[in-house]
Amino acid sequence: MDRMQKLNILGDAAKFDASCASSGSGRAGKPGQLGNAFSAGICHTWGADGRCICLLKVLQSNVCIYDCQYCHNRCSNDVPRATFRPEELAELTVQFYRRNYIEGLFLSSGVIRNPDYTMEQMIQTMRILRDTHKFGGYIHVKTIPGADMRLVTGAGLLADRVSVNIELPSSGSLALLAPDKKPEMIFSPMRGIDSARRMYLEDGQKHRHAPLFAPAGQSTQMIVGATGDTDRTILRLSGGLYRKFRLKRVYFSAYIPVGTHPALPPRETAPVPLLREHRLYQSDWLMRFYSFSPDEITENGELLDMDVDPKCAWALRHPEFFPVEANRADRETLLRVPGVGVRSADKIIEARRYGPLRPENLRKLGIVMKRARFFLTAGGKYEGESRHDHPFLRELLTDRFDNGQTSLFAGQGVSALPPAPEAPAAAPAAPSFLKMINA
Amino acid sequence: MTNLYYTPTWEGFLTAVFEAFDRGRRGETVSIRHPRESAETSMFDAAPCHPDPDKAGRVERGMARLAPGLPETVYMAWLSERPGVEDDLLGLLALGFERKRDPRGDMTHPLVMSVSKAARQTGQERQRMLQFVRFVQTPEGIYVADIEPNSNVLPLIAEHFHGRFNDQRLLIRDLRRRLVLVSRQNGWFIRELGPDEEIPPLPEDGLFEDLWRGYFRAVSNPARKNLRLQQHFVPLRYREHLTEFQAGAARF
Repeated sequence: MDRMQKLNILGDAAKFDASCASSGSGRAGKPGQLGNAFSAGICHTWGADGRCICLLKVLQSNVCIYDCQYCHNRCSNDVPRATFRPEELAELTVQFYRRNYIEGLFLSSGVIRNPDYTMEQMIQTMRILRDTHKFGGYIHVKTIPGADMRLVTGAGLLADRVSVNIELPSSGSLALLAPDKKPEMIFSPMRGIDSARRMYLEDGQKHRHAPLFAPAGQSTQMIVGATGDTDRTILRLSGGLYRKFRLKRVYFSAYIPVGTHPALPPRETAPVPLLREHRLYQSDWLMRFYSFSPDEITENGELLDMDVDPKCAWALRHPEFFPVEANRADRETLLRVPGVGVRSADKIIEARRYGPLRPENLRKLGIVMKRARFFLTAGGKYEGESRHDHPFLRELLTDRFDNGQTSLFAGQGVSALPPAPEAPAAAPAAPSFLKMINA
Repeated sequence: MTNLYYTPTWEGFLTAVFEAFDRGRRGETVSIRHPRESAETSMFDAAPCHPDPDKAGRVERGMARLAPGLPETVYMAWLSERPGVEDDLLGLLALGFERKRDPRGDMTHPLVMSVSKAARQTGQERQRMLQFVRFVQTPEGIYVADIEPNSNVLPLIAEHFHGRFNDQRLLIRDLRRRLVLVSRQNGWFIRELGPDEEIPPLPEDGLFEDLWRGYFRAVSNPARKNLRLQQHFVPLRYREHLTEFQAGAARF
């Protein structure tokens, strides 16, 4: 099999991984050597699905001994299989990197023979990159569930970011669709990576040349829409992960029907829940940059509102909080106003030191007055409507996906949840993951 | 009204600012003009302006004293090469020196908005060039890339590419301005091509270009196809020089 075929098979097989970030790790290049890491990250191109491509995202191998129902590469699926030799993959990465196609390598794999063997192959690839090619670029490695913790630590010493996929948001769903994976196989490496990271950070404060362990931190990914887990479950779980394991990112991946398991949404009819994924990411941003808590976002019920974004939804539920006066409100309060983002809030704070702001000034600063005008006053002046009743405002703030924006979600309406998984799963099972994190 | 035609270098521009302030004090209204505009406007009120390191240094230090980071903003905005940016910068600096405080904070002022827009354009295009430069390896082992940015970003990206590909010999050619960034392990410089100098076309790189195009196709998910979003991030005008969008590149 030639390189072209292998790359096509293994690139194709990796496309279901949502994560693509090359940020969080700043490493200067060394004279006469190849590569550095740019701390803000660089996206090099965008695929026809509009997602950024910054790393060579491939699998070491798509051979897999497991049979996870949601996964394209499960052993019962009839797809062509291929495996990269470590030196082959390292060479390919370097050649792409030298041409400025990529920031580095995103290495994941199906499970060949057993988790430890697979992990060793991946470590070998990274070692060739770092030692033979003196490669200083970015490496993101996905650990294999069930691999020995010593191997995971070894991987962390070579990579910039390490991640363990949580796959499904509750243990019930996991038991149903990925019977080979136990929750403990996911959470114990997460815990291990977090404590190793803290240990090496501490060393770094004492010794200048202490080795770096996953300087860009760890992240995870879960599939949305394959099971009946609700948005509240998902957001509480991510909130817990950020708090407990100091994760840098939690990625959501809208489930694309690849299997025909009775518990999965039907293959032909189920739409890919892209809008739901979008609302979850909006909520994720609210938690990370706007100091919203998961419970505030989902105080209205198990599911997020698909018509308005989560920040608007919160604002509509809390008329007592508004309107906010742009000339006086503190940063945290401004951040709660729909249409005012982190940068807008900082601009308002800076600009009002030079004189009172009026609504037209706000518009010039780039505040999205289309939404903000209902919730802001500037110099006492209010530009919203005289009616404030909930249904009226809600109608005005509803995201219209019919005015050409449709393509953003490819005709996604509100898609119903698939039937809740039976017996051990469903909503009551949800907190069990949270409990494991908090243990 | 006097038009100052400056030598289009950073030092030349700062000298022109110095001259403009000097004449302004004597009651003249002054406009700083890029020499490419000399054909369009009357040369009647034109005054030449030669770069002077001493005057330029005084302006630069004056800006830095007024507000830290101000010279950098002015530099970025100047590199945007937007028509009229020189006069906007002159106005912005006059505003700052008059009020004796950082003029950039007054964000609703039209001059501040126009200058920050210009600076943002350059900053954004710098980022885009970090993303979109694509090298082709020549038979001699030199890595060459062509770009055609709106802003003059070559001086802003040189350090990045020199540091990252330190063991490679690089050429980045700004076809629009006929500037070439030359980078080797021991350093980098930017050279202007002579009027008669030819720009040899890029060679075919072969295997790895094809591998990259194949990968680019394979990695996007047809179930999530979204060309509008793709075009938002990769505007059409950059695609001519992007390997993955050339001949036989990604379409579903």
